Amino acid sequence: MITPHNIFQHELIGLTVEIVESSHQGLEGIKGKVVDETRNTICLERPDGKEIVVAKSTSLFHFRIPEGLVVEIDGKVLVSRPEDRIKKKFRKI
Amino acid sequence: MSRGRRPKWMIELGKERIDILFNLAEKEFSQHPERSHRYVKLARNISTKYNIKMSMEWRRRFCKSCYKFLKPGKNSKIRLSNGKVHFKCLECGKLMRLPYIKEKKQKRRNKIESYLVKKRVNE
Repeated sequence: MITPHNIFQHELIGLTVEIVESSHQGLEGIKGKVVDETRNTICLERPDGKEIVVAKSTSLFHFRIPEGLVVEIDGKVLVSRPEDRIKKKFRKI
Repeated sequence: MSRGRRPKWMIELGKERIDILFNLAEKEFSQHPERSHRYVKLARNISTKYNIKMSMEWRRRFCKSCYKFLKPGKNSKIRLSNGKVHFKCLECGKLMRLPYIKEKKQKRRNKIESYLVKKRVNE
C-alpha cells in the first residue's frame, strides 16, 4: 500500500504527477503519468502521448496516490537510485 | 550498508514494489514493449539488492538469459515434455525448463484417496 508516510520509499512509476514549481518555467503546470525513473530524472507521459524528462532536484511535485490523496514532495529528497530509496532515511520537512 | 539479510519492513516494501512493476509491465507490453523490459530490470535490481525471492507467478515471466519480459503467444512459447514445462524465449532463443513433479504427486495422491473412499463405502 502506498501511503503518504512511505511514498518516499515506494514505487513512483505508475502514479500521476503534477509539476508545481521548477527552475525552468516552461515545465510548470505539466501533468502526466510517471513512466520511467533514473537517479536524477523522472520521465513523464503527457495526456497527448508525448514523453518529457524532468530533473528531480530542481522541481516540486504533487503526487496523486491510488487512494486519492495528493502528496507534495520536494524533488531534492528523491535524488537517489530507485532501488536505493528503500533503505534511505528521510527527515520530515 | 551491511550485507546479508535485511530488516523485515524493507523486504515487505520490496515485495510490493516488485508486484507493482510486473503488473505494469504486463499492462504496457502491447503498446510499449521496451518499457516492460525496463520494468523487469528495475524489479530485478530490487530483488538482488534486498535478497527477495520473486513469487512463482513472476519468476516464469522473464527470460533468464536476456532478462526480457515474456508474454506467451507473443514472444514466448510454452510446451510440456518429459515431466517439465518448457519456456522458449523467442527474443534470444534460450530454453528454460521447470519441473512439475509436485503437481503430479498431488494428482496421484488424490487418485489413491478417492479409491480408498470408494472401498470404504462398499464395505
